[in-house]
Amino acid sequence: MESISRPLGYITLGPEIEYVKDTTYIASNGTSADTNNTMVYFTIRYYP
Amino acid sequence: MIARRAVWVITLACASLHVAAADEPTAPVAAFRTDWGIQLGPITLTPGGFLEFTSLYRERNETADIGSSFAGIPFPNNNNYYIKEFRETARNSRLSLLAQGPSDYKFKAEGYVETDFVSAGTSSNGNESNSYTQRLRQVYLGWMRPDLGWAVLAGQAWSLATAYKNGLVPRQEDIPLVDDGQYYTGFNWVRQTQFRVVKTFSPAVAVGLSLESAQNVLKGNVPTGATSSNPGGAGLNSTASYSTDIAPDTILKLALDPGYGHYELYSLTRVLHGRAPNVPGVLSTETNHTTVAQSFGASLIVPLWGKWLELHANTLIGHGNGRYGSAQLSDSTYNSRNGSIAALREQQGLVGLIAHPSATFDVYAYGGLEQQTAAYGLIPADNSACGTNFANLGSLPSTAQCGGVGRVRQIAGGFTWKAYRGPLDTSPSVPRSST
Repeated sequence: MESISRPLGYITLGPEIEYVKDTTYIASNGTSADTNNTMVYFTIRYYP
Repeated sequence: MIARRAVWVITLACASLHVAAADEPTAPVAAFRTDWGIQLGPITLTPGGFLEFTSLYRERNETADIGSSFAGIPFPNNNNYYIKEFRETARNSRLSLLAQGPSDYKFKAEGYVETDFVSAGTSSNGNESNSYTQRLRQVYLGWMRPDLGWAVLAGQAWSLATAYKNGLVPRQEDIPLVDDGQYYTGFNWVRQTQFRVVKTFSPAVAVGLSLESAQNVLKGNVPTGATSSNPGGAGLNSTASYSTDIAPDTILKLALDPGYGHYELYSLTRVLHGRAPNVPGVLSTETNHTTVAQSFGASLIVPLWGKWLELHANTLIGHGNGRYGSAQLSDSTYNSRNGSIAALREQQGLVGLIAHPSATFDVYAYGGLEQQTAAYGLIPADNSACGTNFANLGSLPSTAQCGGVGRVRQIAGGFTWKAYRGPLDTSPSVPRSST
């Protein structure tokens, strides 16, 4: 067994990018409208 | 209550440290460790969890923490459409504890509690101490008779509608690899109180029946005299709306593990209930209305290229299933002709590819859709107000409208790298279910 002189568990990390598009219900006149969002995440996790 | 929670957190943290110092090889997994724990008489206690730092950026401001509002993106008629958002959060950090009875008994019993801090009290804010509140994710007990294939679960857990990796075993849910706390559009999930019975006929076939806590997300114009929801009373959130339910959501699922992949088919039956006049505006015609909403779902996991590439997919199609998707579209609206509850027709789906190019590296990509058809009062006359700049709204005719969101589409991708492996990490790869 290795001497326990450093953190025991493990660490994960990584980025994520998301693109989301919303569209409204179709109106009685047949039109709809859009909007969108771009999101970027960066996460570090330590599992002790 | 706060003191009790603090003691609980400290106890779990101390337990984790104690276990982490144990001089024995282990195989840590994402949410809990299954191969060793603290022995308390005949009970084995297995603590788990992780500590998390997340930084996020949004092109359009949603004023949301780690979980995005997929159906709440501002339109150009809102100033937040033009404002970007940056946030850092550690609140998704998690603590869990699994308590299991002796494994050599014919009857097996276990209890599981899982918690994080993605919750806000009425006094929580981000000004100074960031004192957000602890949140209940899962608390349930399990009772099993493995020799007969029977298992019972009672408590708050992932819905049986959620996809599983194999069989219908708790803590084996197929949760996407994701950093966003709201997962992905098209992912079918709920965590709610339920009573579930599962019969495993063989390693390849399992059937489950779950009676789960109901809640009807109802939107649209409320008819005069109608009551289908109320503010929370004793023990509930007074700022939230709770539907008037009379029966649980019923889920019946078949899971198949034929040796190549994992496949599921299920039925979701809901009972939507309220009271309103049969004749609009005539209160003397008040009566109770009940609508049965039926949906069908499926999911699969298929290895495409040995252990290197997997396909994951789930879908849910039918009526009144909006709250079972990450975008949280509504379940129903009012029938303006007779005051009954009209379950909205909706389709949801998520497809994901996960690659494992090395033992410490996972790459993933997902695409999802949630789409429903408007009915009655949810149908706008037009959508001309949606795309008009906030500064120019005054120039629109008073009749201009911007309807609610009825379709959400999403694509996403990322990777997870196991950047550090300590002496207690003997797991062969990146942890699979991330959240």
